[in-house]
Amino acid sequence: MKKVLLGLALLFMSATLALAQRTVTGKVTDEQGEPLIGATVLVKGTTSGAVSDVNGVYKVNVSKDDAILVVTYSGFATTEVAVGTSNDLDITMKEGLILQETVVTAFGIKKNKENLGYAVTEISSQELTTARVTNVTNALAAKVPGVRISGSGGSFTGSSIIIRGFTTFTGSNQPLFVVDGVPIDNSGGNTPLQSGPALSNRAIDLNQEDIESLSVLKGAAATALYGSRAASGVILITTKKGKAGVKNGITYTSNYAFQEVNRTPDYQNTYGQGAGGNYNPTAISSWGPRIAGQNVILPPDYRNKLISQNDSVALTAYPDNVTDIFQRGSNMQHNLAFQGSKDATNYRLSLGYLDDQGVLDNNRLQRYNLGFNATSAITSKLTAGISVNYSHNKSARTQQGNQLSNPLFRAWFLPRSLDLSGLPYKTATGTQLNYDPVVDNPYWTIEQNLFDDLTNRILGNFNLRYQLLDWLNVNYTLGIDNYSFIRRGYDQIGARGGANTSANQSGGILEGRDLSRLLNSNLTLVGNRQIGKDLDLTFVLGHEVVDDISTSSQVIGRGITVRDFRDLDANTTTYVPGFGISQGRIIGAFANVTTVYRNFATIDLAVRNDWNSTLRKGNNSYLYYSVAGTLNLTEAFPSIKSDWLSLAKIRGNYGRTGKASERYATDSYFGTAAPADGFGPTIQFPFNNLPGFTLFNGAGNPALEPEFTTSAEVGLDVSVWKDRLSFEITRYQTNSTGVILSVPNSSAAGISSVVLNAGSLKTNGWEAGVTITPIKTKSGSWSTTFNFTQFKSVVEDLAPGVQNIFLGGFVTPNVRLVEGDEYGQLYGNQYKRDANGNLLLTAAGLPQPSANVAKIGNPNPNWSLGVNNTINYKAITLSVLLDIRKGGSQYSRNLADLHRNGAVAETAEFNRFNDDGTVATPYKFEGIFEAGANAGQVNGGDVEKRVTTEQYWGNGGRHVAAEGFIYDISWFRVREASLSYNLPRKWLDKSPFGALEVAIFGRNLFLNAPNYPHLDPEQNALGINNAQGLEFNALPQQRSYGASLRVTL
Amino acid sequence: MQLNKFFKYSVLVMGVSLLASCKDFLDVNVSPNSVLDAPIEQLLTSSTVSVGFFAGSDLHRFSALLAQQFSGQGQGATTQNQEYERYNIQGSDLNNVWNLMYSTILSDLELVIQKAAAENSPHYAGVAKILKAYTFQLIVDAWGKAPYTQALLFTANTSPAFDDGEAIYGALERLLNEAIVDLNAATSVKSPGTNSTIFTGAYAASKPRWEKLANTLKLRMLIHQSKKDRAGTVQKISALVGSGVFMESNADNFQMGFINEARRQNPMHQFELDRANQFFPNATLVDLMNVRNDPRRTRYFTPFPFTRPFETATFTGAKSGDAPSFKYSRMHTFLRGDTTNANAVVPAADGSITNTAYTYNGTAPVRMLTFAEYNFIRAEAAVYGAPGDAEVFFQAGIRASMAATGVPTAQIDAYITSNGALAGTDDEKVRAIIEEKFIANYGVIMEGWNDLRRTGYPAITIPSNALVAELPRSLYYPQSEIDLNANAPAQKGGLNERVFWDVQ
Repeated sequence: MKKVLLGLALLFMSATLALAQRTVTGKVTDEQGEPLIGATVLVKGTTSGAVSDVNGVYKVNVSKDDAILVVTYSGFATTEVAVGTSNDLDITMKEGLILQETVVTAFGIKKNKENLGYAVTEISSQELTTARVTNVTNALAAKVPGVRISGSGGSFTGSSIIIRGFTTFTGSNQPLFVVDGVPIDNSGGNTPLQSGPALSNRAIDLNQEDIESLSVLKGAAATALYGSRAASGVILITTKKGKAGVKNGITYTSNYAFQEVNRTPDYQNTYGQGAGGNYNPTAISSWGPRIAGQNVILPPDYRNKLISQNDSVALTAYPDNVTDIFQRGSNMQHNLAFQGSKDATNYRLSLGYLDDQGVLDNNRLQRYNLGFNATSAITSKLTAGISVNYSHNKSARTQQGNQLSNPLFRAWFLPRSLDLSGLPYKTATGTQLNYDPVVDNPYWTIEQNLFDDLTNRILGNFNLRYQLLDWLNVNYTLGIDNYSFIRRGYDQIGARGGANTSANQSGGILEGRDLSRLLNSNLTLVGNRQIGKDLDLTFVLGHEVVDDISTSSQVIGRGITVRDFRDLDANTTTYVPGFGISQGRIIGAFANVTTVYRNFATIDLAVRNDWNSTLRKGNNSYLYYSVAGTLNLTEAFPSIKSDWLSLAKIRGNYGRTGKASERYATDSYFGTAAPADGFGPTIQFPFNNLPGFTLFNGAGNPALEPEFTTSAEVGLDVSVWKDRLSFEITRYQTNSTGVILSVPNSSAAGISSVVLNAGSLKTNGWEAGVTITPIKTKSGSWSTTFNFTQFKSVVEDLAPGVQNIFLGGFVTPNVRLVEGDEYGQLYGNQYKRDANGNLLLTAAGLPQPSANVAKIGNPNPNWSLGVNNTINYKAITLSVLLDIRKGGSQYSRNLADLHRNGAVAETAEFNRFNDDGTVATPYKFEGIFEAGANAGQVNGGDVEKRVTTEQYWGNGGRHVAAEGFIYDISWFRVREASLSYNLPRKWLDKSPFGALEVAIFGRNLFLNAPNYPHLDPEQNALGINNAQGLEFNALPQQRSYGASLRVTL
Repeated sequence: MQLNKFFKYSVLVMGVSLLASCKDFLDVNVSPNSVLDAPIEQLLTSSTVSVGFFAGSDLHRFSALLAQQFSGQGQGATTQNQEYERYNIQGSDLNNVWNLMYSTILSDLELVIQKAAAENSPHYAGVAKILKAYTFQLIVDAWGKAPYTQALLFTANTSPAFDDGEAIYGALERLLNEAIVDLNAATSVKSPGTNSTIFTGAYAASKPRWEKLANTLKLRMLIHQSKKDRAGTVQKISALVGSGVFMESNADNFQMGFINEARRQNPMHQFELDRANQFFPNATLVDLMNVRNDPRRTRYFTPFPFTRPFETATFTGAKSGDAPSFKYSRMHTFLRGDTTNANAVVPAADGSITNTAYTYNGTAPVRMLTFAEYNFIRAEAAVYGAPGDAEVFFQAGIRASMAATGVPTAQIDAYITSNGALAGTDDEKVRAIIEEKFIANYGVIMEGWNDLRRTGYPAITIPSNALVAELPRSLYYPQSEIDLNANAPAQKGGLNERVFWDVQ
């Protein structure tokens, strides 16, 4: 009670003091006395402040004498100045790149980077928008040490983010996204293997132009406070807000860019459609005759259908028949923002529009963003804020995956003599025409098999902050992420592939509606107290409640009567509905104490306990913690500090995070049966109006416990040569144990898997960030940042008796977890060899597949390096981001297809025909005959068996084993580049513009992948799935280039 | 200050209400989308549908390719069916089959049997035990050894040991005897009715059919063992035919019908739509029928080259190693169901038609054990010395098959006149019986391959491109079983390992 009274007394006092205000004014300059324009001057602990004008002059209101001004300016060390009694206060700022840099850490708490015991990388708004990508996750590529981004092709499909390696087996390894302190949903982004389109991960709803900064929290010490969901790291996003003291202003940005297929194969145009040297109008391959204008018959679909009524044409090469399918896409964005402050209120209102047209028709995404946030000091103690972001995101997408309706299923290797774009693709009634009677015509499926989705999303939060004491405040945030996702698919009558509805050519309509609501309530008590002269203590006590519920509903209708009439109930004859609800809740309590001693030694302790609904009582409460420390040598021993050495800091941490199971994993369930063939056929219930229930093959486990990931990290931050060279280097190790896993077992048990706490996974890694500023003058500078990432995640243990676990893919090839090996290895057929490694050949001299699948590749890169160059000269800025990746292999189905169908240049390397017209045999497989008359002999000499080009590359040759099409994806690419020009202020003085910037920019401008022919290796068949390293028929990676404009009023 | 107070109270109220609701707040982990237990009726429905579907799916294709009733073809990429036909069937190809048999079909049947005991509904147990015996018979015939005694214990044993095939056969015979007792139980709280999609309808009408099936299945298992122990087989068959009831007409055929809705159609028809131009009637079968001028061809196949009427057309089968093509006869109404556009079909100039030229309704049943097969078993047994006249059963088998195919009586009579005699040595008689059985069992899972292994008939030519020039005698254990079951035997050295009844 005493304390409450004391608190109330303090409240009165502070309310009284709040009335005594005065104005402080002065000039902000650099060390040379040049005025700094636009420096932010804030009264510490309040939201009131100002920005320096063109003369560097600021004016702020302060209410007490011991007020402290915090001055920040890009490129300069943040400076704190005590006001004292004077009303005139000039401020001199020191240049510094990393000195006194603050970063946003867990729960939005800004911490001095110098005192952080763990690595956090912060990316500014400017870095994020260099190349104006559609999906913010793609904008992170090569910019963060320790983070690997893997795009999956196309403009707006999913992108995988792996922070410091893999922490779990089959659950999600994707980080938690937090916007303004509120976790949001970033689900989606998996690409289906057999039907449907590739969808976006939901971070795509965010408009980069609204992002002020993005922090990547890596490792347990950085993420422990976020709890279970943050075991794979956190992407912490702070949105732009109106700034206290900043006058009202308007910012408009706009850009337009072209998008193209980044790399297209180098085709042969010598040999035509057919097989065995003979023309065949329905063949899918180019093993036909030499193209010489000879008369050949058209494929059956086109006979009697052309105006000429002529069923034969001259055999001609069509070098562009594949590239014709693609188009030049575009990316256009317009953003308008109003921001400012009045009295004690800051606000920002933003509008955004994006239109991304991909390189295939009917791949288009349009996004509208509307954002509003405001913060108001209601009393001198109480600040309230609100933030609402609405996005309306709609897109059209073509079919993906290993299915006949994917326009790229066989399009990359069109017969070289086929004039696909010159031939009709449908009849007057819409029936498709194709040279190949099995697969959908690319033009037809792009136009006729449709998918579109629409997301309406509200991300919002309401927050309150109350200053209990001048060193203690309490914060409450209620955040909501609410969205609806509408999916609509239309499969035309006669669609040969699965498309959206697997309607077996009868036509189908898909209608899906998903709703997701994520509610997050958190209450924190934050205190900061100076104890004595030497000790600075910051603590956080917090409580979090999460309620996440999503419902999905879908109806598939099949059997279309009227073409192009997209009404499911009126126009289909059979329906398959599907509905589901999924809910999970978490309660968390946490505490964090940061002690800084004399500004050179820091100890940071964090502890959190979660109660998670997905585990049974008794197992559902779990505690984890972290301890981090730093020692700033240059502060501790000022004698070593010199002009040359400005910072030397060592840091280290150890922590543990816990993770609960997926929902509903503690029980075994019965549900609707769906017996399925391995090749497509299936039965859907109700069958003949009879429901059918089956025991699901995956058994639950009531005894599940949380899995834990411990991590240890040490690092060194050094800044030398007047901060011209600074680097931070980090070595870490993470170890996940008791990983929750659906462990497959003998299906003869009647179930085929049981969820268990099984196995462990260990990651070792290095990461480094190095910034060099070789040139720094008054008129210009050049700085280069290197972001180095290397990690290796090894599966130490799987469940007892389990040697490997299937992550995704096919019978061959596929991706597996194998005990003792790196995460996610590629398995497939190898060539059959003897004990000495010699190929064992058939009597005809051809290779053979091994009987069983074996490891054929490791998709994990050895290391990756981002190099970000920024060159400033006066008002011109050139920025170039290089993305270098070493190692990692991929099975390329596209390259296999391009070769075995004789489409690419190397299949015409040797003349396919002898002078007498017979088929030539330019190739020989080195090896030993396994069977036939020459069994046991080496292929050569008297018993030499030479093979034709078609045999060499074809189905019976190199193609027999998946091993033959494993490629190293090492690449060097110019990931992003931009050249911008800021119009001089004097030119703008008489205009209404405060600033005007024009820029040209590009993405994926150059690619060198020395071991990966014909295509861009940045492709992934399964999107953001844990199974990486398989590529086939996905949308191609794009190159874009364009111009942008930024104007402030 | 008012605001400050308001804020303080708000926090207090929020805190209290949170604490109050904490108790149940986390109790949201029972899935609202599935149930923790399912009624016996719906478990049986899913079981009968799965059994019928299964018998027309993967394992049917494996066995029909090995028996040369079908042939794998393909354009462009080598299709899996081409590989299977040349005996390149790997353990990993069989994961799905094994999984569907054990953890879809047999697991639900096991639960029906358990629930039937608990709920005092022996009629359900009877039906489930017959289906269980049928499924295990397929397993033994395909793999030889398999988990039986330790199988289907769910989480209690996830690495069941394998039993010997002969022991399983013995256990299945006992299981069928139990099933007959259960079927005839005087009281049963519940009885299968329209919820069974095999022998659908009132229990009073379906019960005798289940009982006939149980006995006919025993007969099939006995004839499988004839090569191993002929005297014993004859003795047991004699005893069985003296005591049990057996199929009496095509109405007793063990088969499951499908319906004309996408993804509810016959799986063989679905496969034709999903995987066009991969699976064609084999020349071995087609030629056997061509020689006899068999009238069933007009329902079994489409002609190649395509002409009308079918009665005078030519039928052409495919075979392994042929150049990729779809210029062959295709499977027709007998397996895919009736057509609605028979007269609209126009062939290409080369006489071929596409897989979608005909619109089939997909309602043809999947046949698993027919009255025709029953007769051929009896005919073969009679040749070996069991009761009955071999020729009478032989002709009855042909008549049953033709009638089920829809062949008019006059044509059946004519066929019997030219092909109905059973003469010559015992071996020649067996050859004639098995050849007719092979034709009749077009679309029946496993039996063609079983008879081929057992009798060597019909005479086949090993594919020229076969991986090993020897007919496979059993399938590899599924790769998943080798990987996941610590108690699984070592993988077989080759496909030449024989099942217990397939003796040298």
